[in-house]
Amino acid sequence: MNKGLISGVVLLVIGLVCGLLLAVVNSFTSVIIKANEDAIVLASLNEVYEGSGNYDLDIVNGSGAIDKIYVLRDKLDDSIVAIVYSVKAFGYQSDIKMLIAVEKNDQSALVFAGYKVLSQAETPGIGDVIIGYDFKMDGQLITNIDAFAGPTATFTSNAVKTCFQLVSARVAADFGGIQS
Amino acid sequence: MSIGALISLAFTALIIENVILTQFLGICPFLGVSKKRSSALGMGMAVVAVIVISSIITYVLYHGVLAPLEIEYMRTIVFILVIAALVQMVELVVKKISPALYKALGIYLPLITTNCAVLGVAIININKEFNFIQMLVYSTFVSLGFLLVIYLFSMLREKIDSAPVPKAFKGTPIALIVAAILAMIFSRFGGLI
Amino acid sequence: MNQKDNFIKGFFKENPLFVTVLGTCPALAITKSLENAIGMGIAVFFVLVLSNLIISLLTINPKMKEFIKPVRIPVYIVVIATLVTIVEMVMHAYLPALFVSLGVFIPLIVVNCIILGRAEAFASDNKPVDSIIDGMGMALGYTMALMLISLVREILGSASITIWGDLALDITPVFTFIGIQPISMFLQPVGAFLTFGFILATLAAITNKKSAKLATEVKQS
Repeated sequence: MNKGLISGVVLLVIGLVCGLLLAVVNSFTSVIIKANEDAIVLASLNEVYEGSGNYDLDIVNGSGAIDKIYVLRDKLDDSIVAIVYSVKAFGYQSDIKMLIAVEKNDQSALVFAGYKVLSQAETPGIGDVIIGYDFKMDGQLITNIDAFAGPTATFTSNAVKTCFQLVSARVAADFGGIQS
Repeated sequence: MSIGALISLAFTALIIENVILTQFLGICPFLGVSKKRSSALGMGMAVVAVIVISSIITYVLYHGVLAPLEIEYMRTIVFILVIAALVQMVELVVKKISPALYKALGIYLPLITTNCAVLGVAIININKEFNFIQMLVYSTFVSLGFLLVIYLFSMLREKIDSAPVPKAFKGTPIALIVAAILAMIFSRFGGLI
Repeated sequence: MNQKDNFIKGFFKENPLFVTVLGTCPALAITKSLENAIGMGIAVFFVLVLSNLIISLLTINPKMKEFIKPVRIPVYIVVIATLVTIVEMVMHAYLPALFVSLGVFIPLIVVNCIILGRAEAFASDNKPVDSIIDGMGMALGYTMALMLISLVREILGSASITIWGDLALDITPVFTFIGIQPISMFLQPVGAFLTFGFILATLAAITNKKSAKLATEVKQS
């Protein structure tokens, strides 16, 4: 048999064995990785909306900039208590991902109940500013986007504002009845 | 995605987050092939060509094949094989089309496979979830950043060669000290945006 | 060469980072903290020892070696990339914090010249046991070098050593006694280049002194 051909076959066999091995390892680790990531999301959910654990949670897949929608429902009458959006927008040079919670206040008006930046790979020293930065959106009506007070006119801050706008544009309809 | 954001992405890739001085990718050729200006230029240009082409191929492969098949974990293997094959192919093509260019770049091409900037940029393109245009801008300017810094550095090293350097610092140590000063300068550009 | 020498050579005589200056990218990038350096060291240890073992097993049969020869670089790359991906997945699952802080430098172990270099220069021509010992020596030598750089950077940069969330060593009093602040520059890229440069220069000075001493001894005798 041709020597070159055997060499090729040897390479192919080694490649296949390696691929198979990776598939096996992946089947073990991917479950744990997924669980870890979910745990982080649920912990953050509690940070943007305290007491999330007391409600029933529906997870709805979003589309476009809105990745996931977490709907918190009353355990008794199944009415929607709050909706938490996982939303992203392009910032300075990467996506800003954040969680934004919306609930009904005493007058049955929709207000932003909390928010948190989940991940961002912005330039160190520039992007870091937005973690822990108060955008003054807590308790604001969803229509009142102008209350937004980020570091003005940076790409990062604009992206955070965009996230709020995206949520504001659709949340009223979602409270009317979201279907998964 | 506005033009402004693209320009800032390009500037960041080129200067602020310079691939060598702040991301530490491609340090081996940076220290190894920067003793002479001509070789630094040759290496730099070869790297620009390979990074841009390999970024496009790996990006398309990832989003066209690996992601739909849900075998993202094969990423590293596939990318490095693509890069190794590409480097060989570029070498053959350049040899055939332009012997003069081959003479200038030839010896640097095989070294590029193990240049971590190439695989690094391919992976960063995926990790940062860039769209196609962002990926194109980012990989072009990152590799130009490599060219810029390795060329600047080679000029500095030519000067140092004729300077009286303490015996213990000769060679790599003094090169690293100079790189440190260069990194200090580049890190200050961050204040521009 | 006996097995002890084979093991020891990775630490001093042929230290991959300080003597042959290979694997410099992670050495500069992830040495911000001792914890990262140890994590990187473990990953490299696993990959290097196993890749040395597998490659020496693949080439143990002369006939097999003949077949692999024309495609040996792709074969090495596939083996190494597989091992690296396994490390990446396991680390992502069990040590997510370390996974995030090492970031892109985990998949980049694939192009770490030390591993491909040992495969080509040692494992393909030696017995499995020798290859494992060589891999362990080299990987531990590399880890030791990474830890040295990160120790200098973390102590000067933040005046303390932190390992996995527990404060292991706080030397702020020493800094206050001398009357200086932690020098945060050492945690930035500048500090990486400076620290590595000065360590290499110190080692060169020691070597120079030794060889000078040796030369005079030879002259006297």
